Amino acid sequence: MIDVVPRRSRPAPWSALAALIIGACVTTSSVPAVTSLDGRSCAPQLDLATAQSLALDAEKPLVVDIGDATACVQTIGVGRSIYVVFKLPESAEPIVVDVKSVALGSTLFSPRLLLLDEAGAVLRERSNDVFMFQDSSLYVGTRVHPGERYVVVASDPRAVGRRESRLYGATQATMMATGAGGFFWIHTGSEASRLFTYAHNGQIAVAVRLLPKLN
Amino acid sequence: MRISKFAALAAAILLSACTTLPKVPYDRTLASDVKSIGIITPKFPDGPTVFLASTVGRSFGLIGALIDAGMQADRQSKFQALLQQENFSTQERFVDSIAGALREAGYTVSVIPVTRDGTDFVSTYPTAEEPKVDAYLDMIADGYGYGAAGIGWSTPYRPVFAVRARLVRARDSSVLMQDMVSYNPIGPRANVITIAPDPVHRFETFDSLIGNPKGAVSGLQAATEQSAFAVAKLLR
Repeated sequence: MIDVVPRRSRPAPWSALAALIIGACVTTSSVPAVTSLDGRSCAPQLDLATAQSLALDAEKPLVVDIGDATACVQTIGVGRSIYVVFKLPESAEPIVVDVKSVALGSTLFSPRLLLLDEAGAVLRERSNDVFMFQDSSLYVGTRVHPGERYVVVASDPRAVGRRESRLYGATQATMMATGAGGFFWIHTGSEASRLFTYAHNGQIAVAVRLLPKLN
Repeated sequence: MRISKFAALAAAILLSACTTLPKVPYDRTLASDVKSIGIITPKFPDGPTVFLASTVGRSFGLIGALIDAGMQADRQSKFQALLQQENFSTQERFVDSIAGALREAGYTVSVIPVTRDGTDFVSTYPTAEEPKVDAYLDMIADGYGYGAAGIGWSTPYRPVFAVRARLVRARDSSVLMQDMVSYNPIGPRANVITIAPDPVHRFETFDSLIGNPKGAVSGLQAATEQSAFAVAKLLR
């Protein structure tokens, strides 16, 4: 027996499911990984004038491509690092800044966070190792402390160049025509290994939201 | 009834990541009073799951689904017998692993037996009872066992584990951390910490899985421990 559904009465949820499955298979275009900043002239200090303002809206992350044109800083003990500065929104309620490094093919920006006060002094740093994988992205959520006005997402030269291979299983549903005006679905599975290279370039998505009140 | 139960369990582990669970990041500096953590008896399913994420049967409507469910129930009961034969308790391994990781992170850890009902987090924590702790770690394992993306050598069975976790402050019941961890999710997972499976643990067929009890347990143990360590990492 074949699960035949006439085309005209195809239920909307199936369309949504198909879109979800297809969407999951879409990958961002790959870019070569930049693993060295040798020869790049970097400023000795962060430039806060380039800060992009973050809105208090989890649904509207700022997505930034990080590449050759992105600012660079050289600090003692860390070395050369690519960075992007964001101005945090003011809020009377506790807020969370969510930072995601999105893989561009095999290139994965190697992130760390700096939280700065109004004058640009570094109040704290969140190192690369607090980031954890969410699918093919690296993610960390951070509660913003009183007095923190800027968040800097910078590359971590200590992790740049490292490679990591990860296995991904997936399922696909392919719609097949029956030839009698209907269709049915063929379900298949696949598994693939993806190799990520931690880099000075890539793509980040940054959003700010209110800390959920759950009690 | 039994088939429906196993099918529901497999669906739960596949779809657990679709559950909406607002992420609450932990901030140890803002919760500096939390020095002792009580691990509440985690909620675990009655048994393991062994599933194929895509099967021929799924293309054949209800009849196909029922046949799949029957085969899955058979696989799961055999795998459960294997775990018993090997004297492996996933729940005990999970609690031991997370307790050890939290102690390494500097916490004083107690294991607090609680009788749970339902499938959600505990509604009232035993704050009046001993041992007194600063916070409770409440965890729900949505599923554990083995899963394969499909049929064939290119989509082998690999261990799976999925858990929701929440840290609740004892004195005011505020949620200090909340997140989800999934070891070897098959398919994309939004807003879930994902752990890729160790390539070493692969079984091309269910027969090869069940025919290698030590290897099967070793894979599940790795998934269990890595999931526990990921939850502990969220509390560093």
